[in-house]
Amino acid sequence: MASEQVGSALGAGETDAQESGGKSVRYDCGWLGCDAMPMVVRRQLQAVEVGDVVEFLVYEPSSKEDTPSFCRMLGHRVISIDEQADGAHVIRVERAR
Amino acid sequence: MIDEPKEGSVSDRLIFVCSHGRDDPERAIVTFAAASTAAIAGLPTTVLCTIEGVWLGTPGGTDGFEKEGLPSLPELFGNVVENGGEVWLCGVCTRPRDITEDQLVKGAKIVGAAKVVEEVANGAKMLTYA
Repeated sequence: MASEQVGSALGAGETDAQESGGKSVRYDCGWLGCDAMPMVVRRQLQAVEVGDVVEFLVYEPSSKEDTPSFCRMLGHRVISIDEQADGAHVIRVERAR
Repeated sequence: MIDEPKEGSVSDRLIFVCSHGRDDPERAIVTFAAASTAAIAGLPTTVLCTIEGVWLGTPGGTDGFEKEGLPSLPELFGNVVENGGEVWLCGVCTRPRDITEDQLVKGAKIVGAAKVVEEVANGAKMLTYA
């Protein structure tokens, strides 16, 4: 599956999602907290096709815990959670429905 | 490696809500007394600290919570963590208090609403000692 990394720590709320071959998209959540995160995550997953993957780059501590939980509640599949050297987490989620 | 709950999994976790700290030490102590009991009993235990309670998960956050006739909060906190319990700090509450990940004591972590909602949706029980 093709995957392209775009950008890094964006300001909270900035969008930098780009598709790479229609298979994988990276979205930089920056420092979005749990107040704003749910709507952003849902919107990103609705923007791809079932079976595609969105990689959420997350810096905010609560969102590192929340993003996988929220994606599971939406019925999507959390594929992996990896911590980067800078402390950010990359959470890969497959749109499942 | 994902060690998070699977979709549709059932949670038997007990979540004790603690919204007080130095503003009302007794309310914090009784909450941790209950959570300590649960953790020692081997039950999956979480103390969810909100508002002033989030300071309890920082170094020195339980210092001075000794009061005659009441259990020791540092000891209760230790009981929770040493028996596999977790202390979750509300992210909405840590942010305005400038509490960051690198300031937390062992067993504490910052979480947001979705983490709590998922646990409750999967069956976790929340207890509040108001």
